[in-house]
Amino acid sequence: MDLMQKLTILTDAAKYDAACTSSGVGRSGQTGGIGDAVACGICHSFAADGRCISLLKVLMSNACVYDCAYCVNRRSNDVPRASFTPRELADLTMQFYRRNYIEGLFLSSAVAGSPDGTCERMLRVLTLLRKEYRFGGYIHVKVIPGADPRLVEALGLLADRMSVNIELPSQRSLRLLAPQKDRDGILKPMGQISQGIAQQKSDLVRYNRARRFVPAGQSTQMIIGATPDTDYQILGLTAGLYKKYGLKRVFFSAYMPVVEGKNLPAIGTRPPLLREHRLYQADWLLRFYRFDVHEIIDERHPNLNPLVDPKCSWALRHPEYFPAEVNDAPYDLLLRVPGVGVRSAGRIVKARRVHSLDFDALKKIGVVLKRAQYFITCRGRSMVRKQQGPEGVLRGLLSDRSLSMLPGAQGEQLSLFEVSDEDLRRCLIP
Amino acid sequence: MRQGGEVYRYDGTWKGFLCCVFTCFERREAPADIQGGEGAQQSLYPARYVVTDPEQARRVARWLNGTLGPEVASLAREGFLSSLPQREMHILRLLLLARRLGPAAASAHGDRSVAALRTAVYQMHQEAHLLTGFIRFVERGGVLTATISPKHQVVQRLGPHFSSRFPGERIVIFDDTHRLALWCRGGRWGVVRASVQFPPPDAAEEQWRQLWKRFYRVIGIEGRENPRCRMTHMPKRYWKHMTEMEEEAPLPAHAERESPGGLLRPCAGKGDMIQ
Repeated sequence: MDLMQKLTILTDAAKYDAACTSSGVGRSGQTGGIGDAVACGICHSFAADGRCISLLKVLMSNACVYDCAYCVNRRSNDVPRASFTPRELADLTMQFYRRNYIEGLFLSSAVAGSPDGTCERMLRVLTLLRKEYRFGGYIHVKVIPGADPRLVEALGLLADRMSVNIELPSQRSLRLLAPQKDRDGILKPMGQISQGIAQQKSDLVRYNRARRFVPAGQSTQMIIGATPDTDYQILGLTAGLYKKYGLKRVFFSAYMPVVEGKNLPAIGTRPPLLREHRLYQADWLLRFYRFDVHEIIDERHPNLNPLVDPKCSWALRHPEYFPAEVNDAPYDLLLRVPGVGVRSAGRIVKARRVHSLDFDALKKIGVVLKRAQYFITCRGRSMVRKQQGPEGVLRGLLSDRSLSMLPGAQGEQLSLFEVSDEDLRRCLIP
Repeated sequence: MRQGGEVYRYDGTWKGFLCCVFTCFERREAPADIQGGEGAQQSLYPARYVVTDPEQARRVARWLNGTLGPEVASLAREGFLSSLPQREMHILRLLLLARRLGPAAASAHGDRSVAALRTAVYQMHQEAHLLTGFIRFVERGGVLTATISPKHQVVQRLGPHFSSRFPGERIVIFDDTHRLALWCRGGRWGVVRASVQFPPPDAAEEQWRQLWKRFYRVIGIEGRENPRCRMTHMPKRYWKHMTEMEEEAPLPAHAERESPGGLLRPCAGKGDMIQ
């Protein structure tokens, strides 16, 4: 089997992994070596589905011994199988990297043989890259649940980021769809990595030449829409993971039915892309907007509103905070105004020290006034003429796409030719 | 400052522009427009040719870097490299504002010129950042080569990135909008004014290109196809020079043929150093 065929099979098998970020670590290039890492990450291309391509995302092997119902690589699925040799994959990575196609390698694998054997092969690739080729680019490696902790540590000392896929948001769903994986087997390596990172942080303070362990942190991913879990469960788990394990990112992957299964959505079901989008928006609120998970979602409304984003949804439910006066509102409140992002909130705080702000200035700053106008005043004046009820505000906030989802969305269409009873009476009785 | 009715013409260099600022302060009146280099247009206003004087330029630069603060200085210097229309006038207005407000002028986001310069500089940084990812090198005789068509003058920003990333490689990046060539070698880099045309890639190179095109096609999930999202993140003007956006084709028979004339064929210009 030639390299082209292997690359095709093993890319095809890896593409359902959501994460493809190369951020979180800055490292300059070394003479005699090749490659560096940029803290903000670099996207090298965007695939036809609009997702960023930053790393060479492939599987080491797709010959899996597990039989997880949702997975395209499960043992009972009839697909072509292939495996890279460590040397092949290391060479491919170096050649792609030199041509600036990629920022580094994203290495995952099906469980070929045993978890330990698979991990050892992955470790060989990483050793070749870091030690022999002196590769300084980004490496993201996926931990195989059930692998020996010593192998996980060895991988962590060579990689920039590690991830363990939590796959499904609840133990019940996991039992239903992935009977060979269990929650503890997933959480154990996650705990080991987060401990290793904490240990390394204190080592860096104490010793001059402490070894770098997973400097870009760890992430995880879960599948959305394969099981009946609610957004409340998903976001609750997400917030818990950020707090307990100090994760850098939690990725959501809208489930795309690729295999038949009695516990799965039928093949041909559209992936729940809008739901995935809303979950990511909520995730951003948790990480950058100082929201608490209970402010975004609660048990009584266990799913996010598909019509408006979670931030607008919060603002509509809390009219007591608004309107905010942009010239003296605290930064935290500015962050919560729909249409004001982290960047524009920072600019507002800076600019209002120099001069007082009006709506024109806000527009130049980059505030989305279409959404923000209902929630702010400038020098005590509002941009909205008459006071609209929450219904009218909601209508104004909706995007065209959401508007078309609303029942009776057209609004009131005034007609030139429609004659009301009143007019008719006036015409008939002079 | 009084509004004057003259158009300043200068040689298009940064130093020349600083001399325009000097002239403006000396005459105590703001020009109607400042035009540099090849961008000069016919206009009804009387023109004044500003001669570049290193001493005047140094005096303005000292005022800019010292009194006005690093933020105003970098906004002016980087705004000058952007492709903002009438950028000279915007920078002049920024400097006049900074004369009143001091270093805080850089934060006056509500001012027309500050906002325009901020946006232009942001767009330039954005373009340079995107290009650090979107540049595709083709190896030709051991040299990594690439062509780009950026809106702004970004090669100066790309130099440090690529020379630090590939310390052991020889690199040539040609900007065909501004006719500038960036070279990197052994961790050092520089920019020369030149015109370069690269020969087509050879057979070994073509194999890697095919592998990359295949990877690009396969990694996209068919059920989530979203061309608008892709265009938002990767605008079409970058596609021209990206390997994966070409057709995935079988290896052409003439691919091995070496094109005559060696690696670099300077077409015009004498390769005068500008950095």
